[in-house]
Formats: sequence, structure tokens, C-alpha cells
Amino acid sequence: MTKSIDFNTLLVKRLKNKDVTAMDYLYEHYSDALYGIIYRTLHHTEIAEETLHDVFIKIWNQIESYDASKGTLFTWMYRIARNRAIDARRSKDFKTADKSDDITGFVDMFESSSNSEEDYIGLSAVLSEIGEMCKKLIQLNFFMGYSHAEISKNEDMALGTVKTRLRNCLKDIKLKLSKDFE
Amino acid sequence: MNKQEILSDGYLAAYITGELSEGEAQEVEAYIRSDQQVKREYFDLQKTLELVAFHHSIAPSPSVKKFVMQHESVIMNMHSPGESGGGSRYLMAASITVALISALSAFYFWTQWKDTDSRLALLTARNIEMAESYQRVNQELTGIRGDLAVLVSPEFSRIILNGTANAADAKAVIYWNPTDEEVYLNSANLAQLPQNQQYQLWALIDGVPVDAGVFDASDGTFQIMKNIAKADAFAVTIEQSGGAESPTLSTMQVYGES
Repeated sequence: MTKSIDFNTLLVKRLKNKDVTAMDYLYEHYSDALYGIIYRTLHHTEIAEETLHDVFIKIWNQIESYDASKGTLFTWMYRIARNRAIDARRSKDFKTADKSDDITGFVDMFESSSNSEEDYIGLSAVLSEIGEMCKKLIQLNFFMGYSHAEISKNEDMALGTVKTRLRNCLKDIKLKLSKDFE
Repeated sequence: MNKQEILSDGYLAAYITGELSEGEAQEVEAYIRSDQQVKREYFDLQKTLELVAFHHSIAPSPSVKKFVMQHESVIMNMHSPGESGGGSRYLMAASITVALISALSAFYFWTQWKDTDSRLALLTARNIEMAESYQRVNQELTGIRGDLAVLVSPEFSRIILNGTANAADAKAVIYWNPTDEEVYLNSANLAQLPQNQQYQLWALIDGVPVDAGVFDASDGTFQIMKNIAKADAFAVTIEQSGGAESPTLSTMQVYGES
């Protein structure tokens, strides 16, 4: 994955040139990961797929504003997906679809086996070791679109604690996976 | 906020999710630009999140891709890369363009797809080629490193085996480490033999020949021979393929004392 830096530079360049084949690649490569985030935020297939569609159109239309010095391509797309899914959850359509936007719908995604076909870096093993609190915080914040404040209220945990713990949880995964970061 | 707070208070993770205020985000960005440690930490967090996200990916239904790839903003741009959409007075022109493109798109997609497909195949093939040659070079390098380690090691003594009357020009070189009993042979300029014959190396201990392995002439490489702890001299004879119990002295090619 470390060797993908140059590849992504090329991919972004081609996207900025409005190269449809680059868009095709981008979709093939990233749609499942982004959909995982959108779906977990919404828990509603139709609205989630609509949101994914809008996210990719937004990526295509706004790729010009992506600035590699501010973060990876994934981070940029992730932020778009997360925000778009949060917006969808707050929308009228979502509420009329009889869905609730509070945290009570929490299902531990780490419990079910992952959809990833390959676990070549041993992520499953690492994720099973990080502790219940970490799993819940990561899922709520990064995968379900809940803000620090919402989590703080729901989990009865100080706001600063939520932030620091989240950071420590990610750091913990990183350390356990450290071979893959070298 | 200071650097320590950025590193330990979760600002970078919150920057990734976009939960910082504009002012905070700008401060974090400044640190990412100027501080290697912050930059590194930010990169690690991004990568961790990406790995976890890929690990928990979910496949949407295939129709979503179809709608994305056929969305007008994607199709629109296909013929005019770099141009941005015009204002309202271009709306009419734009809609005509869309209609035209729709009519032509089936043919266009087909040719585009053919073209892309063959380019992709070509690139994939090149990529595989590159990976293979990298692999090969890497293996060669590992081999050469190993050879070099033998050459420069003080533990190895170098023994030149000179040609006998049978082959006056022949030469072979032995690198021998008596402590570890390792023997390497460079068959530098021994002649190629017929299929049914092979060279055999012998270690002579108090005049008694001990088999040190058979080999084929192969220049420029080190061949690993059998372990030998003690030898007064080394000699190479020509034997039937697979080697002989005792040397056929009349065929001796090279000989050298240790």
C-alpha cells in the first residue's frame, strides 16, 4: 500500500482531466469501502445507495478541489461520504422512511465477520483485540457518522475523553499492525 | 493548540472526519505542513482508517455504478475534458449536446471500451513484466551478495586449481572454509561436457580421494559443493553423469593444493 502513492497521484491527475476510465477504476476500487460507511450510517439500502451515487457524482464534479497536501484521496472521499450520509440521515426523506437517527440502532459491526475477502495483514485478529470501548467508539464516530458530542452524550463520557480515546484506539490498531506501516 | 495537544488530544482524527471548526482545521493543516511528526501521525491515522474501512466494506448493488457512469455530468465531460459547464445561456446548447451524445454513446462506449480494454491489458502485461524483472534482479542481487560475502570473508581460503596435462588451459577456483566445512566452486573456464558426463570434485586427504560433489561447467557462478573438513588438495575429474565412487585419475582436469 505504501507504493500506491504515485499511483494515486496519477489517478487524481486523470480524474482532474475528466478521464472516464479513471472514474471507472475509482468506483471499482473505492465504492465498497465508502458504501460500508454510508450504509452503516443510514441502515437503509435504498437511501444508502442513492447517497453513494451522489457521493461519486460529487467526487467527479469536485475532484479539482482535492489537494493531496491536505490528505489522502481516501480521506477526502471518506469525508464527502460521511458528511453526505449524515445529511441524508437528517433529511425529511429519511425520517418519513420511518428511520430513527439516534444512536440506539447500534449493531456491533466488528461482531459479524468482515466482508473483506482477504485478510492478508491480519486485521481481523488485531480488531478482535482492541477492546469493546474502542470498537464502539470507532464504529460510532468513523462508520456511523456520530459526532464527538453525540457520542459523549450517549455514552455518558466527557467530550475530551471521547476525542482522546478515539485517537488512542486508532493508534492502538496502528501499533498492532505496525509491520504494514513500514 | 500546540503540537502536543494535536498529537494526543484527537485533533488529527477529528480533522479526518471533518469535525473541527474552520479555525481549528487551519491550525491543524499548518502543523501537518510544517511538522514531520504531525505529518507522520496524520498519515498513519488516515491509513489505519482506510484499512479498517476496506476491511468492513459492503458491496452496493451493481445498478449504482451504472447510474454513476451514465450520469450526465460524467457523460458530459467525456467529450470535452477540462471544460466546465457553462451558465444558463448555454443550457440549450448543452441539452442539444446531451441529446447528440446520447445518440452516439452506444457506439462511442463500444469503441472506448475496446480501446480501454486493450490499453488496460497492455498496461497489466507491462506491470507484470516489470514485477518479474524486479524479482529477477532482486534474486540475482541476493545471489551476488552471498557470493561477495564468501569472497571477502577471512574464513574462506582461496585455492586455485590449475589445469593438468589433460587440459592445460583449464582453471577452477575453490573457496573453502575448513571451520564450517563449506566448499564453493567456480568452474570458470572448464569446457562443456557431453550430456552423459559430469565433472566431479575430489578432496584429497592423506592421498585418499573423498567425493566433494558433481557439477556442470557453468561460468561466473559459485556452486555449493559437499562439506569438507580436511583436505590437502582438491582435484576435478571427468566421470559418468552422477559421479563415481573413486576418481578416474586419467581424466583429471585441474588440481590444486590447499
